[in-house]
Amino acid sequence: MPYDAEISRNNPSCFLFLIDQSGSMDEKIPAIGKSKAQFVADVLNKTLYQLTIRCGRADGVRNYFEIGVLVYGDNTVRSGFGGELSGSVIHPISAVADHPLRVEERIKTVDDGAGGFIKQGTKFPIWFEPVMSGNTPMCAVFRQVAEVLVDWCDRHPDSYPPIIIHVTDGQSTDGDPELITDQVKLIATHNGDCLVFNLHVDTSDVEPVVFPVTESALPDQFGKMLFRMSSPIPPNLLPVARDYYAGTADGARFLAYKAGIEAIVDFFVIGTRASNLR
Amino acid sequence: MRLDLQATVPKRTDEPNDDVCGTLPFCHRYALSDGATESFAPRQWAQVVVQTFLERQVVDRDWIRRAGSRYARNFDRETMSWSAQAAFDRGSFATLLGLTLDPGRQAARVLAIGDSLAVLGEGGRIRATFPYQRPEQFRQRPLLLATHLADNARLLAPGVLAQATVQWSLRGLRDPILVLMTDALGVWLLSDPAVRWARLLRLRNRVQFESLVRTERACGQMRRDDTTLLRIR
Repeated sequence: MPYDAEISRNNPSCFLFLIDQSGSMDEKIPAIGKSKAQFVADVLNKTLYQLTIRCGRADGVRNYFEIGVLVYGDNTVRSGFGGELSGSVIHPISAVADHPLRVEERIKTVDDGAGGFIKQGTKFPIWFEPVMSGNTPMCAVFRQVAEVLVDWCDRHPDSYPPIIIHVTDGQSTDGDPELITDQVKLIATHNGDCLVFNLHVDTSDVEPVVFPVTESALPDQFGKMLFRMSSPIPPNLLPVARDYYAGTADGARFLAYKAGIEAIVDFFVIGTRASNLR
Repeated sequence: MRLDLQATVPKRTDEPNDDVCGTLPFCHRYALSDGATESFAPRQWAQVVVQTFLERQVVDRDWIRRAGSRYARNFDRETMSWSAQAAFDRGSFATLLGLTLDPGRQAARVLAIGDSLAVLGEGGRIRATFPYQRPEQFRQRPLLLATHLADNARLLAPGVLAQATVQWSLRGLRDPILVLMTDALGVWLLSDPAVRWARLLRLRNRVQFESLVRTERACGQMRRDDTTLLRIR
Protein backbone atom coordinates (compact mmCIF):
# COMPACT_ATOMS: atom_id res chain seq x y z
CA MET A 1 0.00 0.00 0.00
CA PRO A 2 1.74 3.13 -1.13
CA TYR A 3 0.24 6.10 0.80
CA ASP A 4 1.10 8.32 -2.15
CA ALA A 5 -2.29 9.56 -3.40
CA GLU A 6 -2.32 13.19 -4.35
CA ILE A 7 -4.70 15.19 -2.20
CA SER A 8 -7.01 17.28 -4.33
CA ARG A 9 -10.55 18.60 -4.21
CA ASN A 10 -11.66 15.52 -6.14
CA ASN A 11 -9.81 13.25 -3.74
CA PRO A 12 -9.71 14.93 -0.33
CA SER A 13 -8.14 13.33 2.71
CA CYS A 14 -9.67 13.03 6.15
CA PHE A 15 -8.42 13.87 9.62
CA LEU A 16 -10.46 12.51 12.50
CA PHE A 17 -9.51 13.74 15.97
CA LEU A 18 -10.58 11.69 19.01
CA ILE A 19 -10.37 13.63 22.24
CA ASP A 20 -10.60 12.10 25.70
CA GLN A 21 -12.78 14.34 27.90
CA SER A 22 -12.73 12.17 31.01
CA GLY A 23 -12.45 13.74 34.46
CA SER A 24 -8.71 13.15 34.72
CA MET A 25 -8.11 15.63 31.88
CA ASP A 26 -8.81 18.29 34.54
CA GLU A 27 -5.31 17.80 35.96
CA LYS A 28 -3.09 20.89 35.67
CA ILE A 29 0.13 20.94 33.68
CA PRO A 30 2.44 22.75 36.12
CA ALA A 31 4.65 24.39 33.48
CA ILE A 32 1.77 26.37 31.97
CA GLY A 33 -0.88 26.41 34.70
CA LYS A 34 -3.53 25.03 32.35
CA SER A 35 -5.40 21.75 32.56
CA LYS A 36 -4.57 18.99 30.11
CA ALA A 37 -8.04 19.47 28.60
CA GLN A 38 -7.50 23.21 28.10
CA PHE A 39 -4.09 22.70 26.53
CA VAL A 40 -5.34 19.98 24.17
CA ALA A 41 -8.28 22.22 23.22
CA ASP A 42 -5.87 25.07 22.44
CA VAL A 43 -3.66 22.83 20.32
CA LEU A 44 -6.65 21.37 18.48
CA ASN A 45 -8.03 24.84 17.72
CA LYS A 46 -4.61 25.88 16.44
CA THR A 47 -4.37 22.71 14.33
CA LEU A 48 -7.77 23.32 12.74
CA TYR A 49 -6.69 26.92 12.10
CA GLN A 50 -3.48 25.76 10.40
CA LEU A 51 -5.26 23.14 8.31
CA THR A 52 -7.72 25.78 7.13
CA ILE A 53 -4.94 28.18 6.21
CA ARG A 54 -3.25 25.48 4.15
CA CYS A 55 -6.44 25.24 2.11
CA GLY A 56 -7.10 29.00 2.05
CA ARG A 57 -6.88 30.69 -1.33
CA ALA A 58 -7.91 34.07 -2.62
CA ASP A 59 -11.02 32.46 -4.09
CA GLY A 60 -12.03 30.68 -0.86
CA VAL A 61 -11.16 27.63 1.22
CA ARG A 62 -10.56 24.61 -0.99
CA ASN A 63 -11.84 21.29 0.26
CA TYR A 64 -8.59 19.36 0.27
CA PHE A 65 -9.46 17.95 3.71
CA GLU A 66 -12.49 16.68 5.54
CA ILE A 67 -12.35 17.03 9.29
CA GLY A 68 -14.07 15.30 12.19
CA VAL A 69 -13.76 15.63 15.94
CA LEU A 70 -15.20 12.97 18.26
CA VAL A 71 -15.08 13.58 22.00
CA TYR A 72 -15.65 10.93 24.62
CA GLY A 73 -16.14 10.88 28.38
CA ASP A 74 -18.89 10.40 30.96
CA ASN A 75 -20.26 7.34 29.10
CA THR A 76 -20.92 9.28 25.91
CA VAL A 77 -19.38 9.81 22.47
CA ARG A 78 -20.41 12.85 20.42
CA SER A 79 -19.18 15.24 17.77
CA GLY A 80 -16.74 17.74 19.23
CA PHE A 81 -18.04 20.45 16.96
CA GLY A 82 -20.83 22.69 18.17
CA GLY A 83 -23.44 24.85 16.49
CA GLU A 84 -24.20 24.09 12.85
CA LEU A 85 -21.49 21.42 12.69
CA SER A 86 -22.81 19.32 15.57
CA GLY A 87 -25.27 17.32 13.45
CA SER A 88 -22.68 15.06 11.83
CA VAL A 89 -19.13 13.94 12.50
CA ILE A 90 -17.12 14.77 9.36
CA HIS A 91 -17.27 18.03 7.44
CA PRO A 92 -15.48 19.56 4.45
CA ILE A 93 -12.89 22.00 5.72
CA SER A 94 -14.69 24.96 4.12
CA ALA A 95 -17.69 24.22 6.34
CA VAL A 96 -15.39 23.99 9.37
CA ALA A 97 -13.91 27.36 8.41
CA ASP A 98 -17.36 28.91 8.06
CA HIS A 99 -18.71 27.69 11.40
CA PRO A 100 -16.44 28.17 14.39
CA LEU A 101 -18.16 28.66 17.73
CA ARG A 102 -16.79 32.19 17.79
CA VAL A 103 -14.00 34.31 16.33
CA GLU A 104 -11.78 36.17 18.79
CA GLU A 105 -9.99 39.39 17.90
CA ARG A 106 -6.35 39.26 18.91
CA ILE A 107 -3.30 41.43 18.43
CA LYS A 108 -0.12 39.84 17.14
CA THR A 109 3.35 41.23 16.68
CA VAL A 110 4.79 40.67 13.22
CA ASP A 111 8.17 41.27 11.64
CA ASP A 112 7.93 44.28 9.32
CA GLY A 113 10.80 42.97 7.18
CA ALA A 114 12.87 46.07 7.85
CA GLY A 115 14.35 45.16 11.21
CA GLY A 116 11.34 46.17 13.27
CA PHE A 117 8.03 44.83 14.47
CA ILE A 118 4.47 46.06 14.11
CA LYS A 119 1.27 45.17 15.94
CA GLN A 120 -1.45 43.79 13.73
CA GLY A 121 -5.05 42.86 14.49
CA THR A 122 -5.90 39.28 13.67
CA LYS A 123 -8.92 36.99 13.97
CA PHE A 124 -8.65 33.66 15.74
CA PRO A 125 -11.48 31.13 15.52
CA ILE A 126 -12.49 28.80 18.36
CA TRP A 127 -14.24 25.55 17.53
CA PHE A 128 -13.55 23.48 20.53
CA GLU A 129 -13.96 24.13 24.28
CA PRO A 130 -12.43 21.97 27.01
CA VAL A 131 -14.75 19.63 28.87
CA MET A 132 -13.73 16.99 31.42
CA SER A 133 -16.06 14.68 33.22
CA GLY A 134 -16.55 11.03 34.14
CA ASN A 135 -15.02 7.92 32.65
CA THR A 136 -13.10 6.96 29.48
CA PRO A 137 -15.28 5.02 26.97
CA MET A 138 -12.45 4.35 24.53
CA CYS A 139 -14.03 1.26 22.95
CA ALA A 140 -17.22 3.19 22.23
CA VAL A 141 -15.36 5.98 20.45
CA PHE A 142 -13.42 3.55 18.25
CA ARG A 143 -16.65 1.74 17.38
CA GLN A 144 -18.03 5.05 16.14
CA VAL A 145 -14.81 5.73 14.26
CA ALA A 146 -15.28 2.44 12.41
CA GLU A 147 -18.84 3.32 11.42
CA VAL A 148 -17.88 6.77 10.20
CA LEU A 149 -14.78 5.70 8.28
CA VAL A 150 -16.28 2.69 6.53
CA ASP A 151 -18.75 5.11 5.01
CA TRP A 152 -16.09 7.72 4.26
CA CYS A 153 -13.77 5.25 2.52
CA ASP A 154 -16.67 3.90 0.46
CA ARG A 155 -17.31 7.42 -0.77
CA HIS A 156 -13.61 8.25 -1.35
CA PRO A 157 -12.02 5.02 -2.67
CA ASP A 158 -9.05 6.75 -4.33
CA SER A 159 -8.20 9.18 -1.54
CA TYR A 160 -5.22 9.22 0.77
CA PRO A 161 -6.45 7.11 3.71
CA PRO A 162 -7.99 8.79 6.77
CA ILE A 163 -5.73 9.69 9.67
CA ILE A 164 -7.13 9.21 13.18
CA ILE A 165 -5.41 11.28 15.85
CA HIS A 166 -6.38 9.97 19.27
CA VAL A 167 -5.55 11.99 22.39
CA THR A 168 -5.97 10.39 25.82
CA ASP A 169 -4.52 10.53 29.30
CA GLY A 170 -5.76 7.27 30.72
CA GLN A 171 -6.95 3.77 30.33
CA SER A 172 -10.18 2.65 28.77
CA THR A 173 -13.07 2.09 31.18
CA ASP A 174 -15.32 0.15 28.78
CA GLY A 175 -13.12 -2.77 27.79
CA ASP A 176 -10.11 -3.55 25.64
CA PRO A 177 -9.93 -1.12 22.70
CA GLU A 178 -7.18 -3.06 20.93
CA LEU A 179 -9.51 -5.44 19.11
CA ILE A 180 -11.58 -2.56 17.78
CA THR A 181 -8.58 -0.51 16.66
CA ASP A 182 -7.27 -3.59 14.86
CA GLN A 183 -10.52 -3.52 12.87
CA VAL A 184 -10.29 0.23 12.30
CA LYS A 185 -6.79 -0.20 10.90
CA LEU A 186 -8.17 -2.58 8.29
CA ILE A 187 -10.59 0.02 6.88
CA ALA A 188 -8.91 1.21 3.71
CA THR A 189 -9.00 3.18 0.52
CA HIS A 190 -7.19 1.92 -2.57
CA ASN A 191 -4.22 3.95 -1.35
CA GLY A 192 -3.76 2.33 2.05
CA ASP A 193 -5.24 1.38 5.39
CA CYS A 194 -6.50 3.98 7.85
CA LEU A 195 -3.75 5.32 10.08
CA VAL A 196 -4.21 5.42 13.85
CA PHE A 197 -1.96 7.85 15.75
CA ASN A 198 -2.02 7.79 19.56
CA LEU A 199 -0.99 10.63 21.84
CA HIS A 200 -0.88 9.99 25.57
CA VAL A 201 -0.65 13.23 27.55
CA ASP A 202 0.97 13.46 30.93
CA THR A 203 1.78 16.17 33.46
CA SER A 204 4.94 14.67 34.92
CA ASP A 205 8.45 15.69 33.95
CA VAL A 206 9.45 12.28 32.61
CA GLU A 207 10.96 12.04 29.16
CA PRO A 208 8.24 11.08 26.67
CA VAL A 209 8.59 8.05 24.41
CA VAL A 210 8.07 9.39 20.90
CA PHE A 211 7.81 7.26 17.74
CA PRO A 212 9.07 3.97 19.24
CA VAL A 213 10.01 1.05 16.99
CA THR A 214 9.43 -1.75 19.47
CA GLU A 215 6.94 -2.45 22.23
CA SER A 216 9.81 -2.89 24.69
CA ALA A 217 10.47 0.86 24.51
CA LEU A 218 7.28 1.44 26.51
CA PRO A 219 7.51 1.33 30.31
CA ASP A 220 4.15 -0.28 31.20
CA GLN A 221 1.28 -2.40 29.91
CA PHE A 222 -0.90 0.57 28.94
CA GLY A 223 1.93 2.08 26.90
CA LYS A 224 2.56 -1.27 25.22
CA MET A 225 -1.12 -1.52 24.32
CA LEU A 226 -1.10 1.97 22.80
CA PHE A 227 1.96 0.90 20.81
CA ARG A 228 0.06 -2.04 19.36
CA MET A 229 -2.91 0.25 18.63
CA SER A 230 -0.71 2.69 16.67
CA SER A 231 0.04 2.49 12.95
CA PRO A 232 3.56 2.59 11.55
CA ILE A 233 4.49 6.06 10.28
CA PRO A 234 3.85 6.06 6.51
CA PRO A 235 6.83 6.80 4.26
CA ASN A 236 5.66 10.28 3.26
CA LEU A 237 5.53 11.40 6.91
CA LEU A 238 8.89 9.91 7.95
CA PRO A 239 10.94 12.91 6.74
CA VAL A 240 8.61 15.26 8.61
CA ALA A 241 8.90 13.17 11.78
CA ARG A 242 12.69 13.26 11.43
CA ASP A 243 12.65 17.06 11.16
CA TYR A 244 11.37 17.04 14.75
CA TYR A 245 12.82 13.77 16.08
CA ALA A 246 15.96 13.04 14.11
CA GLY A 247 16.28 9.48 15.37
CA THR A 248 12.90 8.33 14.05
CA ALA A 249 13.57 4.94 12.50
CA ASP A 250 11.88 3.17 9.61
CA GLY A 251 8.99 1.18 11.01
CA ALA A 252 8.45 3.53 13.97
CA ARG A 253 4.89 3.69 15.28
CA PHE A 254 2.97 6.95 15.40
CA LEU A 255 2.79 7.09 19.19
CA ALA A 256 3.86 9.62 21.79
CA TYR A 257 3.65 8.29 25.33
CA LYS A 258 3.72 10.51 28.44
CA ALA A 259 3.92 13.53 26.18
CA GLY A 260 4.39 16.98 27.68
CA ILE A 261 3.48 20.27 26.04
CA GLU A 262 6.27 20.26 23.47
CA ALA A 263 5.63 16.70 22.29
CA ILE A 264 1.86 17.37 22.15
CA VAL A 265 2.35 20.32 19.81
CA ASP A 266 4.87 18.42 17.66
CA PHE A 267 2.56 15.42 17.44
CA PHE A 268 -0.32 17.46 16.01
CA VAL A 269 1.94 19.25 13.53
CA ILE A 270 3.56 16.06 12.24
CA GLY A 271 0.32 14.09 12.21
CA THR A 272 -1.46 16.61 10.01
CA ARG A 273 1.47 17.30 7.71
CA ALA A 274 0.17 15.52 4.62
CA SER A 275 2.56 16.93 2.06
CA ASN A 276 1.19 15.91 -1.29
CA LEU A 277 -1.42 18.58 -1.85
CA ARG A 278 -2.04 19.13 -5.53
CA MET B 1 18.17 33.13 -30.58
CA ARG B 2 14.41 33.32 -30.37
CA LEU B 3 11.52 31.75 -28.51
CA ASP B 4 10.33 28.84 -30.62
CA LEU B 5 8.00 27.02 -28.22
CA GLN B 6 6.03 28.15 -25.18
CA ALA B 7 3.56 25.66 -23.74
CA THR B 8 1.88 24.74 -20.47
CA VAL B 9 -0.41 21.98 -19.24
CA PRO B 10 -2.34 22.45 -15.98
CA LYS B 11 -2.35 19.78 -13.30
CA ARG B 12 -6.07 19.32 -13.86
CA THR B 13 -8.46 20.91 -16.27
CA ASP B 14 -10.72 22.03 -13.40
CA GLU B 15 -7.89 23.64 -11.38
CA PRO B 16 -6.15 26.95 -12.11
CA ASN B 17 -2.67 26.76 -13.59
CA ASP B 18 -0.23 28.38 -11.17
CA ASP B 19 2.69 28.42 -13.65
CA VAL B 20 3.26 31.76 -15.31
CA CYS B 21 5.75 32.70 -17.99
CA GLY B 22 6.58 35.98 -19.66
CA THR B 23 8.96 37.17 -22.33
CA LEU B 24 10.45 40.37 -23.66
CA PRO B 25 12.10 38.89 -26.75
CA PHE B 26 13.45 42.17 -28.08
CA CYS B 27 15.19 42.69 -24.73
CA HIS B 28 16.26 39.02 -24.65
CA ARG B 29 14.50 38.42 -21.33
CA TYR B 30 12.49 35.37 -20.41
CA ALA B 31 10.96 34.40 -17.08
CA LEU B 32 9.08 31.48 -15.61
CA SER B 33 7.47 31.24 -12.18
CA ASP B 34 5.74 28.33 -10.48
CA GLY B 35 3.34 29.47 -7.78
CA ALA B 36 3.36 27.14 -4.77
CA THR B 37 0.10 25.27 -4.31
CA GLU B 38 -0.01 25.98 -0.60
CA SER B 39 -0.23 29.72 -1.04
CA PHE B 40 -2.98 32.29 -0.78
CA ALA B 41 -2.78 33.55 -4.36
CA PRO B 42 -0.03 31.60 -6.13
CA ARG B 43 -0.92 32.58 -9.66
CA GLN B 44 -1.15 36.29 -8.86
CA TRP B 45 2.20 36.15 -7.08
CA ALA B 46 3.81 34.25 -9.96
CA GLN B 47 2.50 36.90 -12.36
CA VAL B 48 4.01 39.67 -10.25
CA VAL B 49 7.32 37.81 -9.99
CA VAL B 50 7.55 37.36 -13.76
CA GLN B 51 6.55 40.92 -14.52
CA THR B 52 8.97 42.38 -11.99
CA PHE B 53 11.83 40.27 -13.35
CA LEU B 54 11.16 41.36 -16.91
CA GLU B 55 11.45 44.95 -15.70
CA ARG B 56 14.47 44.47 -13.45
CA GLN B 57 16.76 41.44 -13.52
CA VAL B 58 18.72 41.94 -10.31
CA VAL B 59 16.76 40.51 -7.40
CA ASP B 60 17.54 42.05 -4.03
CA ARG B 61 15.70 43.31 -0.95
CA ASP B 62 14.28 46.30 -2.80
CA TRP B 63 13.12 44.10 -5.70
CA ILE B 64 11.25 41.81 -3.32
CA ARG B 65 9.75 44.73 -1.40
CA ARG B 66 8.44 46.27 -4.63
CA ALA B 67 7.05 42.99 -5.86
CA GLY B 68 5.37 42.35 -2.49
CA SER B 69 3.74 45.78 -2.56
CA ARG B 70 2.54 45.26 -6.11
CA TYR B 71 0.99 41.92 -5.10
CA ALA B 72 -0.63 43.32 -1.94
CA ARG B 73 -2.41 46.03 -3.91
CA ASN B 74 -4.71 43.30 -5.27
CA PHE B 75 -6.20 42.61 -1.84
CA ASP B 76 -7.98 44.38 1.04
CA ARG B 77 -6.92 42.53 4.18
CA GLU B 78 -9.27 44.38 6.52
CA THR B 79 -12.44 43.21 4.79
CA MET B 80 -11.44 39.56 4.56
CA SER B 81 -13.02 36.68 6.47
CA TRP B 82 -10.85 35.20 9.23
CA SER B 83 -9.74 32.31 6.99
CA ALA B 84 -8.88 34.53 4.02
CA GLN B 85 -7.04 36.95 6.30
CA ALA B 86 -5.05 34.14 7.92
CA ALA B 87 -4.14 32.66 4.53
CA PHE B 88 -3.22 36.11 3.23
CA ASP B 89 -1.00 36.67 6.29
CA ARG B 90 0.70 33.34 5.65
CA GLY B 91 1.59 34.66 2.20
CA SER B 92 2.20 33.34 -1.26
CA PHE B 93 5.30 31.63 -2.57
CA ALA B 94 6.74 31.05 -6.02
CA THR B 95 9.86 30.06 -7.91
CA LEU B 96 11.62 32.38 -10.32
CA LEU B 97 13.63 31.21 -13.28
CA GLY B 98 14.91 34.23 -15.16
CA LEU B 99 16.96 34.14 -18.35
CA THR B 100 18.76 37.12 -19.81
CA LEU B 101 20.64 36.73 -23.09
CA ASP B 102 23.56 38.92 -24.06
CA PRO B 103 23.93 38.49 -27.84
CA GLY B 104 27.00 40.75 -27.94
CA ARG B 105 28.96 38.57 -25.55
CA GLN B 106 27.17 35.43 -26.68
CA ALA B 107 26.25 34.63 -23.09
CA ALA B 108 23.21 33.64 -21.09
CA ARG B 109 22.62 34.58 -17.47
CA VAL B 110 20.24 32.39 -15.48
CA LEU B 111 18.76 33.28 -12.10
CA ALA B 112 17.10 30.30 -10.41
CA ILE B 113 15.20 30.72 -7.16
CA GLY B 114 13.43 27.49 -6.29
CA ASP B 115 13.14 24.29 -8.26
CA SER B 116 12.36 25.37 -11.81
CA LEU B 117 15.07 24.12 -14.15
CA ALA B 118 17.12 25.74 -16.93
CA VAL B 119 18.87 23.55 -19.48
CA LEU B 120 21.56 24.49 -21.99
CA GLY B 121 21.90 22.16 -24.92
CA GLU B 122 24.09 21.98 -27.98
CA GLY B 123 22.57 20.09 -30.83
CA GLY B 124 21.26 16.83 -29.52
CA ARG B 125 22.91 16.79 -26.11
CA ILE B 126 22.67 18.57 -22.79
CA ARG B 127 25.69 20.67 -21.84
CA ALA B 128 24.50 22.07 -18.49
CA THR B 129 21.49 22.25 -16.19
CA PHE B 130 20.79 24.69 -13.37
CA PRO B 131 20.10 24.79 -10.45
CA TYR B 132 19.87 20.97 -10.29
CA GLN B 133 21.77 18.23 -12.06
CA ARG B 134 20.13 15.12 -10.63
CA PRO B 135 16.45 14.14 -10.20
CA GLU B 136 16.75 13.47 -6.46
CA GLN B 137 17.66 17.12 -5.87
CA PHE B 138 14.03 17.99 -6.56
CA ARG B 139 13.12 16.29 -3.28
CA GLN B 140 14.75 19.10 -1.32
CA ARG B 141 12.49 21.77 0.06
CA PRO B 142 13.46 24.74 -2.13
CA LEU B 143 13.80 28.36 -1.07
CA LEU B 144 11.01 30.32 -2.72
CA LEU B 145 10.22 33.97 -3.19
CA ALA B 146 7.66 35.00 -0.56
CA THR B 147 5.25 37.90 -0.64
CA HIS B 148 6.20 39.01 2.87
CA LEU B 149 9.68 40.49 2.99
CA ALA B 150 10.36 38.94 6.40
CA ASP B 151 9.85 35.46 4.95
CA ASN B 152 12.72 36.00 2.49
CA ALA B 153 15.41 36.25 5.17
CA ARG B 154 17.20 33.04 4.13
CA LEU B 155 17.08 34.04 0.48
CA LEU B 156 18.53 37.46 1.29
CA ALA B 157 21.34 36.06 3.46
CA PRO B 158 24.81 36.94 2.13
CA GLY B 159 25.80 34.91 -0.91
CA VAL B 160 22.53 33.04 -1.43
CA LEU B 161 21.30 35.01 -4.43
CA ALA B 162 24.78 34.99 -5.94
CA GLN B 163 24.74 31.21 -5.77
CA ALA B 164 21.36 31.26 -7.48
CA THR B 165 22.92 32.76 -10.59
CA VAL B 166 24.96 31.17 -13.36
CA GLN B 167 26.52 32.53 -16.55
CA TRP B 168 26.68 30.24 -19.56
CA SER B 169 28.89 31.09 -22.50
CA LEU B 170 27.29 30.31 -25.85
CA ARG B 171 30.44 31.19 -27.78
CA GLY B 172 31.48 28.47 -30.16
CA LEU B 173 28.38 26.34 -29.56
CA ARG B 174 26.75 24.92 -32.65
CA ASP B 175 22.95 25.26 -32.52
CA PRO B 176 22.71 26.26 -28.84
CA ILE B 177 19.33 25.77 -27.26
CA LEU B 178 17.98 26.96 -23.91
CA VAL B 179 14.95 25.42 -22.24
CA LEU B 180 13.20 26.67 -19.10
CA MET B 181 10.81 24.30 -17.34
CA THR B 182 8.91 23.81 -14.11
CA ASP B 183 9.75 21.03 -11.69
CA ALA B 184 7.57 18.14 -12.89
CA LEU B 185 9.17 18.35 -16.32
CA GLY B 186 12.61 18.90 -14.78
CA VAL B 187 12.45 15.70 -12.71
CA TRP B 188 11.20 13.80 -15.72
CA LEU B 189 14.01 15.08 -17.94
CA LEU B 190 16.85 14.46 -15.47
CA SER B 191 15.60 10.93 -14.77
CA ASP B 192 16.55 9.86 -18.31
CA PRO B 193 18.26 12.88 -19.86
CA ALA B 194 19.62 11.45 -23.10
CA VAL B 195 16.36 9.96 -24.31
CA ARG B 196 14.05 12.63 -22.96
CA TRP B 197 16.10 15.59 -24.16
CA ALA B 198 15.70 14.28 -27.67
CA ARG B 199 11.94 14.07 -27.15
CA LEU B 200 11.80 17.70 -25.99
CA LEU B 201 13.82 18.79 -29.02
CA ARG B 202 11.44 17.01 -31.39
CA LEU B 203 8.38 18.89 -30.13
CA ARG B 204 7.04 21.19 -32.81
CA ASN B 205 4.05 22.81 -31.18
CA ARG B 206 1.87 23.08 -28.05
CA VAL B 207 -0.34 20.19 -29.08
CA GLN B 208 2.63 17.86 -29.17
CA PHE B 209 3.80 19.14 -25.78
CA GLU B 210 0.36 18.51 -24.28
CA SER B 211 0.34 15.04 -25.76
CA LEU B 212 3.77 14.27 -24.29
CA VAL B 213 2.75 15.47 -20.82
CA ARG B 214 -0.53 13.56 -20.83
CA THR B 215 1.15 10.38 -22.07
CA GLU B 216 3.91 10.52 -19.47
CA ARG B 217 1.43 11.28 -16.67
CA ALA B 218 -0.77 8.41 -17.73
CA CYS B 219 2.09 5.92 -17.55
CA GLY B 220 3.31 7.29 -14.22
CA GLN B 221 6.55 8.73 -15.56
CA MET B 222 5.65 12.36 -14.89
CA ARG B 223 4.17 13.81 -11.70
CA ARG B 224 0.78 15.45 -12.10
CA ASP B 225 1.53 19.10 -11.57
CA ASP B 226 1.33 22.28 -13.62
CA THR B 227 3.91 21.73 -16.34
CA THR B 228 5.43 24.49 -18.42
CA LEU B 229 8.18 24.79 -21.00
CA LEU B 230 9.90 27.72 -22.75
CA ARG B 231 12.30 26.77 -25.54
CA ILE B 232 14.67 29.30 -27.07
CA ARG B 233 17.00 28.59 -29.97
